[in-house]
Amino acid sequence: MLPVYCPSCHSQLKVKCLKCENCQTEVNGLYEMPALALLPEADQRFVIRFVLNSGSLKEMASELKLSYPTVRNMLNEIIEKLKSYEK
Amino acid sequence: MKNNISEWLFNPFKRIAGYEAFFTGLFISLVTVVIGTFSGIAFDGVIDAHLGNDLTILKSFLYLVISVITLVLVMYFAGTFINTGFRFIDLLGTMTLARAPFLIIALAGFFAKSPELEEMIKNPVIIFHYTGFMVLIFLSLPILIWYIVLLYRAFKITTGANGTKLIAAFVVGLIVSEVLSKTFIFLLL
Repeated sequence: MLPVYCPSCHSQLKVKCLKCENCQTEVNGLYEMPALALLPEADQRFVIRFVLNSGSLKEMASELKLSYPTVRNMLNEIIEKLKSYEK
Repeated sequence: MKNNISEWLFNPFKRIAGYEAFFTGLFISLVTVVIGTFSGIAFDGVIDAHLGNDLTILKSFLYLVISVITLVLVMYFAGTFINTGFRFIDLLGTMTLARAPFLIIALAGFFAKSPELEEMIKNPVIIFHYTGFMVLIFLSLPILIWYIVLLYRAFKITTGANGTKLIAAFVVGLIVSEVLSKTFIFLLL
């Protein structure tokens, strides 16, 4: 799991360096984390399953063995988190 | 395991809602109506369970229909004030299933024989000699609380709301639906 918060002061981390494993080239800079990477692992898994289920909450509810409104509330919470990251 | 039992008792709507909850709740409610008719318990209102005389299956069934329809419509209206994006069927299903604890009161009715009113006026202490009646009274309170907790959870999960708005909408909705259901039952039956 990609660390997204500083273990020392809990501020949001940024990407400083990326490396090509093929030619060993390193790209340095200071890049923002994508919003999806900022979500907790469980939420990221939810988003992946949601996309793989063609965005169907009914399918998600059936897969997770949860009720439709429970799954919809989980999605709403993720939407709220993503909106807060945009701010 | 303990958490699972607690979840199914107090928050089944995490796993069941919509048509599935509605048909399960409807089945339990119909069984409750039949048992309640024979055990002499009338569920004549949204949060009411009383010992009733001259009950018929039709009358008990109409109590159920009026109570559920009034509750769901009032709660739907209250819910739209706090969140517009929820499905009516989820509210109908979860609120119908929330009535399941009434089945226990209906069964307890078989053991409860109430003293005559005249007898009670003459000697109020006589009530303590009717053990079944006392058990029913003491059983009713926790079951009523359980039912209201289920209604609250149903409203919370269905609307997806939280905080003061949710509590205010639920309390107002419950009071209004109780008053309206009693009024409709009084006027129509």
